[in-house]
Amino acid sequence: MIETLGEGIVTLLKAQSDADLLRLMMAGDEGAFTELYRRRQGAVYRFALQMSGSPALAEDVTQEVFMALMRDGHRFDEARGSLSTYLYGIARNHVLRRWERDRRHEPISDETRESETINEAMIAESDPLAEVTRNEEIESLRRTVLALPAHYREVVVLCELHELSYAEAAQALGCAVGTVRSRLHRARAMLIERLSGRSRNKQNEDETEADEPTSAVANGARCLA
Amino acid sequence: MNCEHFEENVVALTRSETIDAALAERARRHGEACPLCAARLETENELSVGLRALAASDRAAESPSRVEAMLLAAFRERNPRTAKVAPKPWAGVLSLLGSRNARLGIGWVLAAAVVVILLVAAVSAVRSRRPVPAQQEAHQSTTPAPDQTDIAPQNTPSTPKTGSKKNEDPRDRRLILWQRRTRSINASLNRNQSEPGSGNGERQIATDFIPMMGDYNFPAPDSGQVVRVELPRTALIRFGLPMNVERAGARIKADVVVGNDGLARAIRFVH
Repeated sequence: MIETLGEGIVTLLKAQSDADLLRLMMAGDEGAFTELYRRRQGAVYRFALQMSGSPALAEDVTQEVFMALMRDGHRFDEARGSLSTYLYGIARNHVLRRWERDRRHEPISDETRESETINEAMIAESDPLAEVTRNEEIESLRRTVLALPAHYREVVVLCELHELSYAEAAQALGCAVGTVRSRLHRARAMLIERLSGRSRNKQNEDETEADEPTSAVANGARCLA
Repeated sequence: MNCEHFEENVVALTRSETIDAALAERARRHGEACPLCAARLETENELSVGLRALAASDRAAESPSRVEAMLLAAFRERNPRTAKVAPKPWAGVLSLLGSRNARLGIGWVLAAAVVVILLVAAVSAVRSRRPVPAQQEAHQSTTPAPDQTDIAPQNTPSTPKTGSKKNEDPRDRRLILWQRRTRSINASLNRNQSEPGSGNGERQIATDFIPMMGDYNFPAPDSGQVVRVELPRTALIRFGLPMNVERAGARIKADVVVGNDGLARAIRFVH
């Protein structure tokens, strides 16, 4: 009977909203905490991993996020956004804090370095835009995302990899929706530029099509008529 | 639309964002007319495909289980009282049901279940010492399996039909007499359950009452109480009822008629 009761309760908890689970958790309900953790840890961990490229840092950040939730969960206001975006916000703050402590986890963090050439070690040998679904292109794209400045990278991670809306990303990042939109636009352009640059370098090395642009964006030959 | 305007909207077009249909149409026409912008749109689309592939490749990434273990330890440290009381997932029921009353209620149900299980075990021990009347054996073997849920609906015959030569046996007359008495209890219970405001909106299906003492010579109660309990489903077999083996581990509700002398007289199974 106890087991039946237990299964019933687990089912009951799974049906609870994040906010309800948080309330139960703050009242000391371990089952609610476990359910909430299992429901949200993946996204928090992946966000930290995609922002840092470091599994160890992602693990630490995940732990810190849920510790912070235990400690300050009462600060969450459902009217201001979902618990999911609240957790992304905490995760982002912890990632930034860790970078301040240990700069080596952030490959390129300074906006002034945006125009710098990408580290040659990060350049893929093949054309990443042509066959980007292949594993090596995916890894190349991952490295290119990691090489973006942090404030561009976070919008790419949230809006593109985690499929948050502009409004949700804005809540997580604590900025305006318009800021998210413009940063994402710029971030995507930078990704294309860098990925195309690699492709062009490869083509130059082969000395083929030396005079042909690999993409319209790469050459910037846009008609403004 | 010119290229500059196209550039402003190219990400929205790529990401299938909600944009004005007229604007999307103008962008499409511009893309058809301007090869550079068409190439730009194609490049953005390729990037989106790549980002989706990257997201998919990371989808299974999760924090290691040691993180959960560490967090649980921290949670228990922060909540020592609840951690001691509720160390298992099912313990969350207590906080959801929320009260000492709920815990007491569960305790009483458990105690009642234990008493009934002991009672059933005693009855079966007595039955095993007595020779089973041939007629009753026939009755049990002809009891139809009503459906896949083990339980005969109230209106499903669970006893042999009357009118045959067998019913002329005095034992069968006692059986009929016994059933008449218990049927009145059954009807009374069903009335109470179906009354509006009785708090039980669910339709229940129940067997007829079966005597606890193994044969129908045992007098049926003229008065007494009916106690609702839960039993292992294997109890169905003890009373000659079919049981779905796949659900042998589940429990089943039962109503036990307890006479004024304190002895359990009859039982019926409820679904």
